[in-house]
Formats: sequence, C-alpha cells, structure tokens
Amino acid sequence: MEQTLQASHLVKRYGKKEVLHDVSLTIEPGVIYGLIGRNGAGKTTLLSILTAQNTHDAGTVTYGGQPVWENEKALADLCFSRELSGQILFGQNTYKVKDYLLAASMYYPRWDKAYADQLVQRFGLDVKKKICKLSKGMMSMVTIVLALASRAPITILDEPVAGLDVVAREDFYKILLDDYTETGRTFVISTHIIEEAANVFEKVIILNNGQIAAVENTEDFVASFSFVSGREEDVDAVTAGHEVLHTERMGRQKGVAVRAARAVMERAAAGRDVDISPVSLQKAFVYLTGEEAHHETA
Amino acid sequence: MTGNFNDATSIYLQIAAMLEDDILRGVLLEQERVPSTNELARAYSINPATAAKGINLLVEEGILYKKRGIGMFVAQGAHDKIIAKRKDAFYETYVTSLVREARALGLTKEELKAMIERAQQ
Amino acid sequence: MKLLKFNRNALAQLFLLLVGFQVFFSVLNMLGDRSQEYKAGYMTSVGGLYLLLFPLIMMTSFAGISVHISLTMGGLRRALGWQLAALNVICCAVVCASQWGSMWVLSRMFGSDSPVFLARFPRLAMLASAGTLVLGGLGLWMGLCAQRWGGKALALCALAELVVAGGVITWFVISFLKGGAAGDILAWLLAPRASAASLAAVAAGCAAVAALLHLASNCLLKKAVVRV
Repeated sequence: MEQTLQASHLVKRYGKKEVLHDVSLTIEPGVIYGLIGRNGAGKTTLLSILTAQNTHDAGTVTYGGQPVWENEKALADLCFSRELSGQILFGQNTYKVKDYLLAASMYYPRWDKAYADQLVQRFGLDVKKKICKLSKGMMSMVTIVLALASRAPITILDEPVAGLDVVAREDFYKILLDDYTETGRTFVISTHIIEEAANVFEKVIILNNGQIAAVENTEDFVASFSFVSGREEDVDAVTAGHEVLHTERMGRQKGVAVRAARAVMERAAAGRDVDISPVSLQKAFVYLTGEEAHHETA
Repeated sequence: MTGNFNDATSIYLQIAAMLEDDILRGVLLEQERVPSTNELARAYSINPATAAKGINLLVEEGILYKKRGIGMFVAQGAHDKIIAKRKDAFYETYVTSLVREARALGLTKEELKAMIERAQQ
Repeated sequence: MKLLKFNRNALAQLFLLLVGFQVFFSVLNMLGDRSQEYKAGYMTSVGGLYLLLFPLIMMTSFAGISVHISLTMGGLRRALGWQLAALNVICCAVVCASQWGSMWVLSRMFGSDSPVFLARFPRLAMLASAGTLVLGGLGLWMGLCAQRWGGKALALCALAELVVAGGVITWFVISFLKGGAAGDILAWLLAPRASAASLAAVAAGCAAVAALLHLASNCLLKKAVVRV
C-alpha cells in the first residue's frame, strides 16, 4: 500500500543561486531516516520539494512512479510537519492550536483524533492558545502532534525537537518509537541534535551544501570512521593511503580522523603504539561538513 | 540490562552483549523468551532494526532460536556457548591490550606474572 | 468545502464587524441634523462604501494564510482555486447580509421609524454588495502574490490598495459635494429609484471584473509555494 518516494536529479535555484545540485534520494518504506545537515544546507527546501510544497528547476519527484505535484493520491500519503512560527507572512500568527488541529483533521485522511488528544494532553498543550503566544518548545510539540496523529504512511518532521528540553526530547524519541513499532510507517526527521537521535535512525541522510554526502545505515556509516592518535610518524604510517578528514596536533602528538574502519586501522597499526578510537555520528558529521573539510590522503 | 550505551562499539553488538550477560547471570534462563525487537527498541529508545541485528547475531551463533509467531528464546546450552565464545575472545579483548600496555610501561614478563598471581588471590 | 469550514470564524467576524460599522454610521447620522436628511443620508451611505475595504483586507488575509496552511497540509492548488472563488462570493453575500442585518438592528433600536440607509439608494447598495467581488478578487490577487514576493511586499501592496481605494472614494465624495464629473457618477449611484436593468448592469459589471481577477489569480495559484 505504501509506495516509494523518490527524488531524481533535483536542482533548485533561487535566482542565480543554486541551492540543490543534482540531488537523488529514495525513501524506502518502513524506515526511520535522519536527515542531517548544516543550517543552509538545503534540508527544508529538499523536504518541501519532496512534498510538492515547493517547485524545482530540474529533476523529478515521484511517489509510486507518479509525480507528486498536484497529485491527490500521493499527497494523501505524505505529511510534512514544518516548523511553526509566530510570524506568518505579514503578521502575527493569530490562529490557535485547535485551528491547526481542525485543518489537519480535514486534510489528512488518516487523521487519528484520539491519538492527537492523547498527545496534546501528554504535552500539556492549551489548544485555545494562539500560535504567536506559544513558546518555541510548545510550537515544536504542536508540530509533533500534527505529524504523529496524521498517521500518514510517510511522515516528515522538520526540526521537531527544536526548543524542547532534554526531558521532552527523550519523551519524543519514546513516543516516536512507540508509534513506529506499532505502525511501521516511514519517518524522515531532520534535526540538529545529532548524537541523541542517532540511535533512533536506521538510516542517515547527510546533506551538505545542497548535495547528498551520504545515505547509509547509521551504524555502518559510523563504523566506517576511526580516530587514530599517537606520535606523528606512527599515525602517518598507519593512516597512509586512507582519506583523512580531520587533523589535530599538539606538540609531537597527532590525532587524525580517517575514513577507515577500526579493524582496518588496527591491522595497519600492528606493533605501533597508537590509539584507535571510534568516531561518533556527530563528530563524523562535523568532520565531513565542517569548515576545514578537506580530502587528502596522508 | 543496563541500557546505557557507549560509542565504543556498534549498538547492536552492545545489545547482543547485554543479552549474553543476562543469560550468564541467570536473568534469562534457557528456553525462556527474550524481549522482542520492539520491546527492546521501546525500552532503550533505539531503532528496532538495530535491536533485530543484535538478536539475529545471537540466532546465527546458536545462542537464541526463533519460535515462529511467538518470539525469540534462549537456546539449550546457550550458557555454555557464551562462555566458550567469550573464552575465545578473551585473548583479543583483554590479553593483547594487557600485553601492549605492559610493554608500553616497560613491565617485564616476571612483573606481569606476579601481578596476575596477586590478582588471582 | 475545507477552506470555508476552516474560516467560518473569520466570516462570522466580518459579518458582525460590518453590521457594527453600518449601525455606527447610521446612529451618527441620526444624532446629526435631521433637516439635512438627504445629505446626511448619503454620508451614511458613503460611509457604507468604505465598508467595501473590509473584504479587501479579509480576502488578502484569506489568500495568504489559508493558502499557506492548506498547502503545508497537502491541499491541492486547483481545489484551492475554486474554494477561494467560493469564499469571495460568500464575502459578497456577507456584505449584502450585513446591510439587511444593520437595518434590522436599527429598526429594533429605533422602532419602525426606518432610518436613512443604503436601502434608500439601490444602485449604491448594489455597488457595495457586488463591488466586494471586485475588491475581494483584488485582495486574493495580493494574497497570492505574497506567496511569491513575501510578507513585506504584501503589506506594502495592501497599504497601497487601501490608500488608493480610500482615495478614489473620497475623490468621488468631494466631487459630488463640489460638483464634477465624478460627482455626477456618485449622484447617479445615489438615485433613490433605479430600474432593475441598471441594477443588473452594476452587478454584471462587478461580476465580470471579479471573474477576470480570479482568472489572473488562478495563474498565480498554479505555481504557489509555501513561503517561509
């Protein structure tokens, strides 16, 4: 019943500036994806194009083989819960939470009112409050309620934990997994809070400067990096021939992040006194996309 | 099960290790049902696919087996299998790093032996 | 009709606001000089002309916000097009209803003594009613342009529209008072009796202009995006 959402060679320009270059992506059914990228990488633009809320200049976006643009069947299966803002177009967003819930019940064919009410209560939201009067955390909670209660086969959340404190964030991951284990629907979650969420994502999509840098199983991706440290000569010898992503130096000590699995490094290190440690998803992301991202072989 | 994951190894390996620890400690007895992937996912806020990978690893090693439609169970002789597996891994996990560290500190073979004997008392 | 259900509160508010506005003007007029009935009467009516500006603002807002929310939840643009047109017609109906509503309120407040009101000037009343289609259509256009140009440009355009529309109405009124071509048109509108044909002509003219505006805004709607 649920089909594949696919983007193929997407290009998006704002005036002369190209914000998405040749982006191709397949969203497989039943997977929780994490979409991570720096501010301005193009995450919201990409998600917006995937759900026919924004136009694109080249390439295609299809759902079940058919383009999503103005496609009623496709849009009935998609939900893109955007970040809410106190400002809407030219003024304050004086719509209330219950207005959004009403609109959602009209537009999402599988809307689950009981679940929405349950979540509203769990978050302690006052449905009569105007959006412009909500705190950032409460606005995030509203987007979470809208996304989860939509029961859409493909549900996309843009920065759902922005503004939530750590307790609320942990609660969100629990709620998300409760829903996922029950329904098995597809989720795409874009977030800046990478390390916490890493365990929840089965696959990770990294968007950097408008291009897809990686789409992989999260654990496999993380396991493909190592951090090697020790004396400079030893480290250089061990990492020779591998892609170096990041270098730290302190006196004669050198620490290097490489695109190579720890097992590979350990074999190369045989005998040498170097420390080989894992690289977290967050660090791997920073190394790949940070200012000093350079690609050289040591 | 502790539920605190570190980033030293992949989560699925830690899940497998946790289940093995429980079997060794007798928290999970042979022929008893182990938590399902969904239960593990919800309990530890991890993706069910990751939990499944950990469980499948143990199934492949014969420590768990699957009863269709019901769930995963601890296999007969799992306790002994785990001990044997960990004995094999003992060398790689502990001994090589022990020796390497001892070498870095300049400990002699005799000093190392004496330390081991002291610890065994 | 999703959009209508979604905006029923806004429509109710528009109705009440218009009734209040017209009652207020009529009461003001009544408290004034009774002997100047004709002049006072047209002041009330002209005041009623300014009430046309309400639908302009409402429709600008409807187009902007309703389209935004509808699109973010997967609404179809072609469906929105029809719904916005229906909303515009309903705004027009609300303006008509408000005229009857204020008459009812005034007769309740002051007994059967029917005060001077738009009903006295059928052509003007017809213009006020049907004219909301035009200004509503214009408001729609502006709201949709906001999807392209953004909030600030929209605010400026809406302000410009208000100034221009208000200015045109004021110019007609002054021309009427001082005598002039525009004033003659206003005098024609203020004729106490009007043939059904002339009423139909005013209505048809407004409807035609409104339809053109809607066609134009539909072109914009086809490529509408969610502006953040």
